[in-house]
Amino acid sequence: MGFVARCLVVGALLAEIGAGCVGRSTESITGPSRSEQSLQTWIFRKVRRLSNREYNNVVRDLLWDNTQPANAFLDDSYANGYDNGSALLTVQTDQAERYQLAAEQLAQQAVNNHLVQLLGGCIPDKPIPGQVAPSPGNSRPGADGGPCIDRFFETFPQRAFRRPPTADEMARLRGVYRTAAQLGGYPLGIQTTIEAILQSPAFLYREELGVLAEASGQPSTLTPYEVASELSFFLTGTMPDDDLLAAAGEGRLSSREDLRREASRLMQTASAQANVRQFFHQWLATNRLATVTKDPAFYPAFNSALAASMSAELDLFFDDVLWNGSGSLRELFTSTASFADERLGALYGVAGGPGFAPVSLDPEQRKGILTRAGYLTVHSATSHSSPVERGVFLRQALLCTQLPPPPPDVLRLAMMEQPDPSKTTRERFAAHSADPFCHSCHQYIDQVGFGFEEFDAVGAFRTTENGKPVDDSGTLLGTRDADGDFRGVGELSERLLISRQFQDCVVTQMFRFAMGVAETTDDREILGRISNQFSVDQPLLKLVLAIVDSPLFVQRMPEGN
Amino acid sequence: MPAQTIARRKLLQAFGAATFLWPLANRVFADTGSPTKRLVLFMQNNGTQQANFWPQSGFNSPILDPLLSNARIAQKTILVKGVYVPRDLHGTDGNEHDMGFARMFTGERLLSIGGKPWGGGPSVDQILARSWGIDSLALAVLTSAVEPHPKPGYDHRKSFCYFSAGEHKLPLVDPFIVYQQLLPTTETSEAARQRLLLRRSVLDAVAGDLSDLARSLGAEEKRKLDLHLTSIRQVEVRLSRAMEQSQTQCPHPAQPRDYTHTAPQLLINDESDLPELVRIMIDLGATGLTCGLVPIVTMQFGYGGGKWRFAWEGIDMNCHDDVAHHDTSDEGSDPINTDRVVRMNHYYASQVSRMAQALEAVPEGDGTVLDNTLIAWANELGRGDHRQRMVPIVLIGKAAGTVRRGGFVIDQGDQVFNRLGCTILNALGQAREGFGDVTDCGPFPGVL
Repeated sequence: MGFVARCLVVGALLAEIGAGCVGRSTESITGPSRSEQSLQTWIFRKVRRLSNREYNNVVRDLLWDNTQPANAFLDDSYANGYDNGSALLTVQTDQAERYQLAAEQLAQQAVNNHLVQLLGGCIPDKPIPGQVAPSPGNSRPGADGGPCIDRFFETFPQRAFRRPPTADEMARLRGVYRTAAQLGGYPLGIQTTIEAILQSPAFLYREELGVLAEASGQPSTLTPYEVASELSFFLTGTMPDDDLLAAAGEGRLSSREDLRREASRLMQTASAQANVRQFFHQWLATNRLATVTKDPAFYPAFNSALAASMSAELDLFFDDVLWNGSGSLRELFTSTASFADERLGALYGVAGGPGFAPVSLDPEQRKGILTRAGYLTVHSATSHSSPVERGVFLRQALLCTQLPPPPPDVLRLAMMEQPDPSKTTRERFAAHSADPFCHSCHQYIDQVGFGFEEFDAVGAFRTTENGKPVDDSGTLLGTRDADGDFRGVGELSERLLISRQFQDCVVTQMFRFAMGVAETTDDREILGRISNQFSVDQPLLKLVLAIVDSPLFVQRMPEGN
Repeated sequence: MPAQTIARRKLLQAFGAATFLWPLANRVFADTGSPTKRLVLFMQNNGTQQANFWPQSGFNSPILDPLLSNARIAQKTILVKGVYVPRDLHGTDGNEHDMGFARMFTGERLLSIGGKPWGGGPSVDQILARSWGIDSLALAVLTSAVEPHPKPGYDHRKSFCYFSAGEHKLPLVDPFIVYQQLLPTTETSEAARQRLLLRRSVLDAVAGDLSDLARSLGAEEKRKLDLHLTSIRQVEVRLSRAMEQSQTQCPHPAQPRDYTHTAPQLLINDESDLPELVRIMIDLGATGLTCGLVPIVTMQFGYGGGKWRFAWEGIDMNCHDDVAHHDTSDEGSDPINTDRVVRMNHYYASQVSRMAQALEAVPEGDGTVLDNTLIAWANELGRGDHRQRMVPIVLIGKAAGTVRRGGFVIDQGDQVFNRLGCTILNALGQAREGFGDVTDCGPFPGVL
């Protein structure tokens, strides 16, 4: 089944269940009815273009480049919500041109600064300015190459392609080298060859093709090199390291034990830490702190420096929970331990700075990630706390509920949402509850968002608004297993933690991050098994490993099924 | 030709820029064998102010005055009344902004990806680009103080142009990059020729790799690689262009600042330079069209459902939630709000007019470039409170004679929006009886 076909299947299903507001939550993924052996993935064979973030990471690891050239690339659209190589990423002319310019600059810098490394430590006869002496016995490489050039072709293309190049690919690269070396000697040959490598689809796309099964319609199994790439990009956001590529090449990446071993090793790296942060930021949309703005008429003290502090706090918080703490969803959603600098300390009412230092937040006010200033700031309007925005996001991102769109005439009530200095935000949105027409849907949204009312649009705690007491009582409705009243975000978080729907949703979000596609009902059985083996008290990393351990990680269906 | 010289000088003065060595007009068209017809699409969000958009008497209105007060442009303008977008969610949780934005130029039902609404097929600009074997120039100004990026899950609002179902043609947002692309530095030295040789060698190798990989893929994935391969060939065309500039002068705007590297916030969340960005983009788009560099230009004013503040029009509010949404009747909900909606839309009209006038200023054949162009200005909504009836459609230009006359309003009751795509395709040489999911709607009556 191809991508569009997957979308049409799930679209039809959602249209069917979207007939009313009640019962729109995703169905349970409580596990397979079949044996594990009979489970199969419905992810199709595909190629996944490197995302801009992945491109930056790869050229850092391949070419020692920290300039982040992909920041000047086109701003991609991510259909599955995550910037990790979404299956729909394509290359239009403007992007091909950016790839060309970036490749030329990267290749030139690499040859200027790292020629010996590119040649695998081999030093040609004529010293390059600034380089060490030539290797004895080497002749100056010409258009036909030489030992040092052979060394380059033996090592660099394989690292860049994340697999051995095919004979045809190698022949083309040799051709490019010859043409360039004839014009400008071997450095130009190497430089131009690198340009070709960096624009090749073998570099720009991650291949998830596998070896086609003999039986028609049966899934193919990814090759060890493809598995190495998938593992590395999922866990670390970058190309496989030398050990992983060696494991793939030496037949040590075939069994489940092999995958577990390599996954556990990779999870100890700094790249993995950065990648897990990215997952959290993208799942919770806190990556928007880099550009979020507030209306200065309402929040004059808010600025990009404060937003940067909020983002830095979340980085430290995520790291602390994942790597120093239990790593569980429970800790992520209930912890009062965090970090603050002077700016955030003032907002939180604790002593902070200079620089970031561990702080303990008031458990009556701030328990868990949903109470952190960064989360609250991105999930609010520029001029008010926006219970609707907060409610919608929580239902969609944390409960994986698909909400119906507002009906055509809903905006007749828009006027009431205007700032009114005589009312609290909750009072302004009360008409949503008073009007039965609005209430039918907004009971599932506003009643969640109202629970956040003790926090304004920049995450500051408040007990009054416009001179009136704030009411942070709320009700969670329409879930499979978390319905009930609550007061404040702390109780809302506790309610989420007892919900299997919440847990299933986290599994689904991790699936999207791992696979580069949105799930369909066909994926439910595998996701159910993974969720069955997980709990909110276990380290989130166990969920990561469970996905690696599942059939969907190494199997792909042929297109057309 | 004196007339041409004068007209181009006028255009040059309008751009306030220097002359530039330039290839013969229509060179790219001639290279690719595509016709000299041109297409410009404008996409606007948040609806219009109905009472002030449609002419009440004569052929002008408060909103359209920048366009229709110019008699030459007015004579080549058609307003289409009664256009509606049927409610189509197709398994998504989108709203009317999404439906209008993703469907207007694709014509297809929405495609649900993770429950979000994406265009369900290629947009009309890409259908033509593929048919003509050329690349379009997709432009946008997406800066927004209120919404620097589409809200989570709403990346589908980044572009109304699609290569295929769910696959955006992404717009360029930095005019400096557009300038470099359209007006590359002329390289004629021996070193430059060597560089071109090497680049071609590299691109040939890349094309070979792409072809090999495509052979191992199924149809959908192969299409992705085919698009990449087409892009590589377009890059080769651009490289050749940089080597072959000579002989003829073509006016163009001054080189804009390098926004990405000197002031990226102006492309993201700082609206202080927004009108200037729009102006430069339109001038560059006009340059591409009048100089024969590109036959299709698309211009997007903000994200779908965008939230510009329009401080430059004296409004300085979230003009989506706090202005457009409050326009709850065709007559206007209250005078202050109505005035704001009119000012917003008057601004859009002034920018569309800027493009039309730039094309009208350049003679071509027996007429002007505008006579060989079809400009289609569409809106995701009819009215700001999410109404999708009376969506304002403006057609300008004669499309090389297929549009016979202008200066009137088509007012013949309801017209399904698919007719817009059908009209555009018919006008530009594609025989179609319908467009998108309505296969027999025909074009707007009275246009062709």
